[in-house]
Amino acid sequence: MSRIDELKAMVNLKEGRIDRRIFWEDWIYQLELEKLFAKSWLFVAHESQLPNTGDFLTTYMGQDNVIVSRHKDGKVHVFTNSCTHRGNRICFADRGKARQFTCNYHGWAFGTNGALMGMHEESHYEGHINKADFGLQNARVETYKGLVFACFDDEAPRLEEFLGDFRWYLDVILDQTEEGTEFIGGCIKNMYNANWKFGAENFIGDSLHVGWTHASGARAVSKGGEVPEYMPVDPESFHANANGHGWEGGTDGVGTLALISSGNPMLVDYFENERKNMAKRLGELRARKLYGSVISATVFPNFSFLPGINTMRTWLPKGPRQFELRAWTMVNKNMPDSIREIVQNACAMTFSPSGIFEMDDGENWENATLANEGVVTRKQNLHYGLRAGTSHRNDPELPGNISKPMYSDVNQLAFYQRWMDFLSAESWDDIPKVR
Amino acid sequence: MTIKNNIKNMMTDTENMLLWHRVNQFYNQEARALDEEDYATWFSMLAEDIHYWMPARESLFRKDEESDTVNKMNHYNESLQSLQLRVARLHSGAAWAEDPRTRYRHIITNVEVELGDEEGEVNVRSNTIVYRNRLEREEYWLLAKREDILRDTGDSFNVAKRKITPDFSCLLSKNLNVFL
Repeated sequence: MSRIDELKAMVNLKEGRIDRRIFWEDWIYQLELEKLFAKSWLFVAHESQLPNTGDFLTTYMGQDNVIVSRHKDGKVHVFTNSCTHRGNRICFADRGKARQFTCNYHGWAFGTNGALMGMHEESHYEGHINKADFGLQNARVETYKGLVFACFDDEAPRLEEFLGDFRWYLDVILDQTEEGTEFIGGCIKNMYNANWKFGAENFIGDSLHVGWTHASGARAVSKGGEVPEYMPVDPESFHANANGHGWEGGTDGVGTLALISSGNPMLVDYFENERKNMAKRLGELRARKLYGSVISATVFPNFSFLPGINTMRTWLPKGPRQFELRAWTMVNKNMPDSIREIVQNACAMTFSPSGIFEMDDGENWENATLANEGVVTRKQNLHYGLRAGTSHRNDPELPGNISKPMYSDVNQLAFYQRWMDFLSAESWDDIPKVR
Repeated sequence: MTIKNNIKNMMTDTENMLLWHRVNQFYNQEARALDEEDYATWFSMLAEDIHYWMPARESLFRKDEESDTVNKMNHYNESLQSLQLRVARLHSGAAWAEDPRTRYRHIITNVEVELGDEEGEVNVRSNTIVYRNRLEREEYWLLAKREDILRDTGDSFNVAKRKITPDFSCLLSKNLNVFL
């Protein structure tokens, strides 16, 4: 049996069974780096982080460290952060302003578009190098309503096609206002001894953990009173997925707002008022029923967010049993400072390493990963079978593959189907353009 | 010979030593309350109008360094009410990730005191080492600078302002289930 056949047997979409080795084995992780992270579009920045020429930040695409930088052509360029001379890292700051990036080792200097500009004692190199051949490796870069994505594969479809029907859902947070969105400055980073997919699959569809894992947070917010039903058993709640991206949540329009406005009724008033404008851009369904509900979502493979709470985060793989989470809070540019402050603090209070909800997640993901060190334990498949096979593509209102209610493994299975599409493909020709 | 290292404050060395001693006693009691999850005692040591702040840090080139502001990503940006909300999670009976409990140890050191700008206020800098150990082998160290404004309550103090500047940019653990 080839490695790919072996891998294919690890995800049973029909019955919803997953082999635990996908969260553990080094060879599978290496395949993920080669065939998924080096081929897929990946979130790298929000445009608001790079407003001016020379602004840059550094991040990872898979385990490839990259510089994301605004060049004098006005465009954002993304390129590998490793000198073409001896391979040393070139830029060591998380973000900043630069005219060029100069390697500490021998002074090779690269432009804010990744091109090799020159080097220390350049005269020695005359006749020995064609500088045009030794620029940094550039990724393709495209944006969607403020979010910057990059891709190392020339064969990949355009970003719009990659996002497909999921754009309709992204617009709920990205397109509420004419002015658009921005990230609050800075970034919160922390490490988990867990497989990166646990973060991604949790956000793509895990409605059922909310009431249980996060019972402590919900009870804290209710201040000793009765815990309100943030996620009532709502028959209209749903899983939606498209091309491996997924959105799960309710339609009551108030669950998340209740959570973040705890003690701040002015926040509810603000958003109720804003819904009128939102409805003009997004329609009644998205403005009044989706926005404000408890919702979580993942853009395949590793970019997740919570509409309303507005945490935006990327799960950066660091091996099969470790990942780094980088998180930002996103706000609408036109939000008054008082509202912005409430959203920012509510996000830190709920979903950050110190947050009363997020604190309980890491514990689960780490132990779900590390239990697999046992060879006997590792051989028992996991149940992902709740409402497996129930999604359909003909909902009158909602684009993508829909399954109702949200208490299911439908989106998780769609995620692993897409994951298998990538890992078993030789090239983009083998990857279905629409899922 | 008397070394007047506190001329600005017009404190004698004896006054300075006494203040330093009282502040250390206060910090030791606070550390014990946090180690023992005795949050009722801890809250009684905080001012009603406390601002408890821990900004997230980044690695920036020296030329790009910026002063801290609460308008960027924070680990904590808290009032007494929001600190109480965080602790309510632990007391909810449903904080699964805290059972068995974390073994905490707070070490407070490098304490420097000077009189504050307002009557009865003391500005204090200190360093803290916080050790966490959980379950079989989980072990995390946190080091940080603390800049406090303490209010003298006669027999003790309470904390009116605390800025915690951690020495990590990337938190090397799955959560920050601790106050510093």
